[in-house]
Amino acid sequence: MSVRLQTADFDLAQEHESMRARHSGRCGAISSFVGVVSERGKEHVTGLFIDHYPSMTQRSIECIVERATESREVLEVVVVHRVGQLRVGDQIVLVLTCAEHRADASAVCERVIDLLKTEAILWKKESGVRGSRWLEPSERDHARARGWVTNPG
Amino acid sequence: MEGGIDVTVLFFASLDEVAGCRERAVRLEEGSTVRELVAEVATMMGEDFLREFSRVPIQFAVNEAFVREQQVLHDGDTVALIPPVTGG
Repeated sequence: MSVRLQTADFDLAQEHESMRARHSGRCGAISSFVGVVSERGKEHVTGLFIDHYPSMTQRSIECIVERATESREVLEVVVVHRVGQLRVGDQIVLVLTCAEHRADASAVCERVIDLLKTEAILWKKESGVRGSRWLEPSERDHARARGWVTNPG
Repeated sequence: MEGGIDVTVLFFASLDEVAGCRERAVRLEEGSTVRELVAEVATMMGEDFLREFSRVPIQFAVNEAFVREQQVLHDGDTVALIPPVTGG
C-alpha cells in the first residue's frame, strides 16, 4: 500500500506503468480512478482548496485502504491525494489497484473512492463566481459508504 | 497560573479561517479537560469563532487520536479541533 499526500500533480500513465512493472507476471488487472476539479454545473466553481492534517489525514487514508481490501485479494493499492489550491480541470486524487483478477481490482478501487468521500480527514473549500464556502458532507456520500459496510462483497 | 499545563490547539478548515491562525498555545489549570479547553478557546477567539464552533459538530483529537470532551489533558498535549470532513 502506498498513500501520498502532495501539492504537486501526478502522472496516471507513469503510476500505472510502474505498478504494472512491480507486479509483472502476477498482475492480471489494474483499475484506476482519477478525480478532477469540475465546475459542478450551475455552481460555476472556479477553484478548490483542500485543507488537511498531515499525520491524521495520512493515517485515515491508510485505514480506508485497509478496510477496502478486507475480503479481497489485491497485490497493491496506491492512493495519491493532492492538497492545497487547485483549479478547475486539475487532478485531485488517484486510486490505482492491482490484482490477479479484475473483480478484485475494480471492487477495491470503487470502495476506496467511496470511503475517501466520507472518511478521509480532508476539508474542501470551493470558490466560484458567488464567493467561496467550505463544503459539508452529503447524505448521498454517506449512504454509498454505508453500503460498503453493510454489503461489503 | 502556578502548576498549570501548556497545550497547543490546532484549527482546520472553517475554524482555521475564523480563528485566523493554524495553532494557538493555551495555558490551563492542571487536570483540565478538552471541554474546559474549548471554553477557554471560545473566550479567547471571540464571537465569530464561537458561532462557527456551535454551527457544526466538532470532533477532538489529542496527540492525533480521537477523544471525547471529558478527556483530561496533560502538559505538552496537542489538541486538534476537527470540523466535519468532506473527504477526497
